[in-house]
Amino acid sequence: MNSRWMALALAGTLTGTAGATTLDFGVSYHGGGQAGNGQSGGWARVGISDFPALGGRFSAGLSTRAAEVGYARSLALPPLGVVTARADVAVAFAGGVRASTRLGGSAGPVALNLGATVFSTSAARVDPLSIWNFNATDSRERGFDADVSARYRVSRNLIAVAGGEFGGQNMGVLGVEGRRELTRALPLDEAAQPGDEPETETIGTLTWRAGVRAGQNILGVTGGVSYAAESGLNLGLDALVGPKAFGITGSVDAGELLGPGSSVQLYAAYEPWRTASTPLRAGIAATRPLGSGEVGLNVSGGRGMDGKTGYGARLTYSLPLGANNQP
Amino acid sequence: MSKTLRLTFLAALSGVLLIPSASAQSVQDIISKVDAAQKAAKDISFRLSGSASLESSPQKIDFTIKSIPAQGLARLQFNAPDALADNIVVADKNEIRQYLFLTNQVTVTSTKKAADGAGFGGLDFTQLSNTASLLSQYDVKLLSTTGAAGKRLFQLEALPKKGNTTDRTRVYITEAGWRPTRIQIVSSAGKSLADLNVGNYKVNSGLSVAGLKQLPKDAEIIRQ
Repeated sequence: MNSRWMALALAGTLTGTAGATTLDFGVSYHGGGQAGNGQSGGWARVGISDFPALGGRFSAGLSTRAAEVGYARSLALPPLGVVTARADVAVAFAGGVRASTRLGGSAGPVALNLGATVFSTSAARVDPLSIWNFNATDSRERGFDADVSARYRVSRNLIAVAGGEFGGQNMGVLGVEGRRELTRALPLDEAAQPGDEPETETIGTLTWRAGVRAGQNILGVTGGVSYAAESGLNLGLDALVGPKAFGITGSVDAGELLGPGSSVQLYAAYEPWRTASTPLRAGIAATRPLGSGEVGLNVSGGRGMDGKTGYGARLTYSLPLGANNQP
Repeated sequence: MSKTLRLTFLAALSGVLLIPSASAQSVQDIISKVDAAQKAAKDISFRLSGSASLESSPQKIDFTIKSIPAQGLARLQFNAPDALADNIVVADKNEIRQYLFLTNQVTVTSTKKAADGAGFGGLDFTQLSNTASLLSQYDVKLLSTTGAAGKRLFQLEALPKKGNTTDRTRVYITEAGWRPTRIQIVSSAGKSLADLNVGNYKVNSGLSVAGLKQLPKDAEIIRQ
């Protein structure tokens, strides 16, 4: 009965009415003392994402380590904003569950984001490479995490940010973000009417960030700068400096270096002030179109709080289903 | 919600300019000339700027529309107000994509779903590129004609045939090029609700489908 329902639903998707449902395949290998509690090993996963059902989008996956299912629903209100909600559950075969939920919304100048996770197994037991992601992942075996963030657009180029992380290491952040567009004026069209303003073309955007981060075992001022070129090149550098804390993170998005539709990202993070995540993380991730899908390669590694190092490599392929996915 | 309505009305209005229709014969002439000029164009782009009373106080409104009519493709990009600046809406026959600057997200909604979704307060972005049906919902009359032959300026007024609004939309059309130059929305009491000038009007400037569909690549994609 169940499989018949699945087949029926899949057929509906394949006719192209839904669009953008993808099949995901992945294999990875990890080694070193930090990963998998000191044991090197492999990982393989097959999954489906953005499958439309019950007014939202389902995702499901089965890997050699866990079974996962997620549901997301959103309401877009062009041009004002969007409200999104999602819930995910992963059951690890080694025992333990991770359940998370996230709620986000934006309307005009205001955006709010709330997230919470309860877990009785570590993130690495579900996805061994997750602990070396650019964004710090809580690496504890069990516990509770919550985060909240609010963004308010003070003016076109200035955003005030406030937020907090609770659970692994409680802290709050407060800051501002600004940007400056680097533009060049375009020559006036010969058909231009009197009074027409000259049009400009953006060649790049400079973004800066400044703020404070305070909480358990952490107190510091933060600062960062990014440069995004129209070509897709994106450089970012952020630092935290405090009386007893220091941290620095950086990333380079090389844009379509490997051809149209491709991406290459290089990142490194050194955040010894983090007490619930891997403090030293680095990686490179690349994707490019292959056939009607997209192939990805990701190599990452790091050093844990206990000084043990680890590394991993992953190959993925995602295949969009249906005819409605042409860019 | 009235803010949403007004804004979307403005957006829909930009669509009104693309293919109008009418009742009176002279109005029909003007509109068919505009229609012919638009249909002859491979691409059209213009900027709408001015002010609108979204709630009570007038606010600066400024956005750019780029369209490839044959493809049913339109792109709307906000410059003002600040709260919406840099937000982009791209609509084609299949889907509507919305880029939100504040959260760096792109929402994807099927055009069919959006058209069904009267939950948006009647908002239908598909009208940006499918205006024939939209205009059939209006009564249009010619208010005035000014200027010398060849450079005449026609002022048209459109009133919805049905619906809960008595707001009138006034569109100024210049004979030179048969294109709109100004749009006003006036309440039944004669109060100006919006007054937007059409600037940087260009046809056949070589817009590409890929260029119109381009959105920031690092944005999070949200499929509805």
